[in-house]
Amino acid sequence: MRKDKKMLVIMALALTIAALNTLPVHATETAGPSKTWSYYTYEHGSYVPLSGRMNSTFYNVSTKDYFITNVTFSLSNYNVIKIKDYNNGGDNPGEVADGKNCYFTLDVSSKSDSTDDKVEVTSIASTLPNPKYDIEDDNWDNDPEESEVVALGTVSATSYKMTTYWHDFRTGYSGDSGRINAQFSMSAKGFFDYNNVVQSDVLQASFPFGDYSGRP
Amino acid sequence: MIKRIKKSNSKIVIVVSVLIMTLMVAGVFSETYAQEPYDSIGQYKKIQSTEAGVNNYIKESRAKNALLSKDKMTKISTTITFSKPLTDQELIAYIKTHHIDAVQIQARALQDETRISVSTIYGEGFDTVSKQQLEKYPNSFFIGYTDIYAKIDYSNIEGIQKDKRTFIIDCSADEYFEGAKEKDGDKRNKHRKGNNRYAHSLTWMLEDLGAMPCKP
Repeated sequence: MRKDKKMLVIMALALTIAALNTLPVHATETAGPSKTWSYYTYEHGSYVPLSGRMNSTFYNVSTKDYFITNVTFSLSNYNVIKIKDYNNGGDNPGEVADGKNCYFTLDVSSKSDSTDDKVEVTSIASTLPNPKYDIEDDNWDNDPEESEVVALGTVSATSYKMTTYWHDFRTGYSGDSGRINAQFSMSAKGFFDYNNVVQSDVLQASFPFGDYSGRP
Repeated sequence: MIKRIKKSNSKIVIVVSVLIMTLMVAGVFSETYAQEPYDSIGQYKKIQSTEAGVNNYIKESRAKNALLSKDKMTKISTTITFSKPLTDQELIAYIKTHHIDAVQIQARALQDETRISVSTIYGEGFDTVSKQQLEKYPNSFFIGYTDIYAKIDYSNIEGIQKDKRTFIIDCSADEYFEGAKEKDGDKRNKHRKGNNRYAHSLTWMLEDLGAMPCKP
């Protein structure tokens, strides 16, 4: 009789554990900062969209916290003409890009308030044509803090989107905070890597994140 | 006397350091630029976007792969384009079967007629991460994994090439083709940076040519 009771308790426990495992991972979703840009002229680059927005959503998950940044923008006919001109090489605007085939590039990167990045790029997605993605560790701390998309296809006067998935390892330590920056450029092959030959003189969007994971 | 020795010692240290640094820089440059420097995007742009052009590129790639096999190179910088989009399980099985050290995987999703390209660092949960971003693309759906950046050993090239799920193994980004002859790819491929580390996949081109099914 006692044995049966014991068995029942074990079975109930096993069933509970199994049921818990099949439950979806609980995630709390928080809308994070959002930043728009709007220019009247092409003073920041003929390839830079006149307007756009970067927003963010933070996920507090029982397994691993993360957040997603989302950059949306529209290219004008003027942008498209200029980007195609850069693509073809030859006589490009300015002097540094002359004779180089340059490609439309968007960088979304994190800038930590300390030397150790606590947010890491894990994935990128976009609607840009024929993209080549680079997930890069620029500051040599073994944590990728830059997501870069280079559009190899022919762009159109339409709206595009790029999202970046960041794994969030912030612990609440002062210095785990930082900023997310978005900036357009035209890139071409340099010595070892594809470099931004011409880059917008300003960040298109930038917002801060705090010290604690799973929240803005 | 001691002071004088110390002074002359420090002079010797400075001279030797400068000499070593000069030799290192000269070594890097002569080694890297002994042949035409690699340009992943420039190379992709040279491929004719026709059936004949792609077949010709496959032929060139196979000839390069044969050289890597002959010289028994390991951890070769490789881009594998699949012949059709793979499911999560198919991708995992493919990687396991061919002993591939997967670095970054690319996937295709669709939002109406718009192609969404997803790129994720390969590791635990890569499948969940790849799909979680799609929540930011309303009404989109996941098609499958289309190509992969990886390190492979010479002994696995033949098996991967024979696999019907493989469209092309492109090892052209490996520094072997610029004269680096160390067997270990981690030592051989030390100059590649960012977007130049792996060849661009043929996925977009194959979709445009109707050779890669883009729809489920």
